[in-house]
Amino acid sequence: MNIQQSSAYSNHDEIWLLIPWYANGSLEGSDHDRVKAHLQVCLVCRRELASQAMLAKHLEHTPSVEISYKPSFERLMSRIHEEEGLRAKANRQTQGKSPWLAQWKNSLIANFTPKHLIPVFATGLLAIALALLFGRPPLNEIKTYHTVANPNNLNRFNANDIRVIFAEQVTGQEIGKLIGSIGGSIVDGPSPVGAYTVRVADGIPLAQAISQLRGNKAVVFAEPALPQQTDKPKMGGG
Amino acid sequence: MPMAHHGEPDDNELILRICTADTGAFETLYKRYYLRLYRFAFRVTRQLDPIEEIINDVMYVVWKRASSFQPESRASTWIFGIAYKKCLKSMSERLQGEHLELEKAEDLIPGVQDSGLQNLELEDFISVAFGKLPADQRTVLELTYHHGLNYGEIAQIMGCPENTVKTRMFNARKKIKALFPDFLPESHADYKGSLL
Repeated sequence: MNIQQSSAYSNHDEIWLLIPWYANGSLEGSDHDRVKAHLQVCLVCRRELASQAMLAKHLEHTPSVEISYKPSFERLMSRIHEEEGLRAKANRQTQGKSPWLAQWKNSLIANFTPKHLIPVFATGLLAIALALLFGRPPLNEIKTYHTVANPNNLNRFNANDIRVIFAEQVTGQEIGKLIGSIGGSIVDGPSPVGAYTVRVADGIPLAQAISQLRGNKAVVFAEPALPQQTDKPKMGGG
Repeated sequence: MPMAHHGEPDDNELILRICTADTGAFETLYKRYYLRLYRFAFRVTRQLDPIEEIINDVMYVVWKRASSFQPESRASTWIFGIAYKKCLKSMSERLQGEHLELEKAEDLIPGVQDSGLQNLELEDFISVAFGKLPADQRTVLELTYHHGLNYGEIAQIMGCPENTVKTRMFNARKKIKALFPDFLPESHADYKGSLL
């Protein structure tokens, strides 16, 4: 085997894949030339070519079945005429109501292709992204207070306890400072909803502590841990 | 496959006329492709029942979307591309509700044992071989050997890379050899025919 033959043989695997298209005569250019050169030196591929040529011969054969196209064609034309009739009717109705709207609708239907969905999707994604970025109201605008007390846990609290929820961005250090500023200490929490129970030191009025917490924008929620049972209000304004 | 028949307009010209709602041109094209699509749909789906529906769905798209056809491409590539998708859709609709892979499930689809065409084909070992191959491999074989297409055109029709076409053909050949080890008669073993 000389160098030229060796080179022709080296791409056996690649040539093996191309044999069916050499057999059907559709290979052109360099593909064709490479297969032809390889076949000169490769007995395995020559056998495969013979095998594929036989397969091709079997598949080329079309059973001599006489099937008339006419009935199928007529059914298709009926379908087309029916759909076109319905569309024409719908167009007439729409045009009767508002010609410019019908014209716009027809133009949209005629020209709308899947590529027009791209800006629609892009706008949708942008809207979602903006909602996620800016949807959360600023801390100083949060004015809604929620009830987070669990009646089963009420016996764990005393009259000096406050349930507090801090804004999400508030760090542990800031929480510590805030609680320190009212002379309190964390006795429970955070709960699954992020609520802390803060016990205010004896001698500090509960209402004053709550009022002070509510005045801070880092606090989302501040309420006595126990329901108020006396007529005497314990809280200041809020 | 010739695109024009005995002085008739070629496929591309017919499609151009279909753009102007020329039903005569549409009928000529329909007639020209009817048997080819019939055979192709049968080879891919192995079912006779949905064939007319598939052909008419394909030709309906040709009628509606004639203006989207790119004249520089071959009409047959465009039409068989539509047909391949319709065949897959038809097969998947038949399997709806069953979470099976298409290839595995083909054996479960009711057969066409009673049909004349099937009886005609059962005489032929190719029919048996086709029954054992998955739809994508059958399609590659059919388009290569019956329609004489290049792997590039087949890739366009099937909407896949050229290497995928080669791999599908490779696997089909391997399966046929496994099914019919005596497929290549001894007398052809040292073939040096005119193809060389």
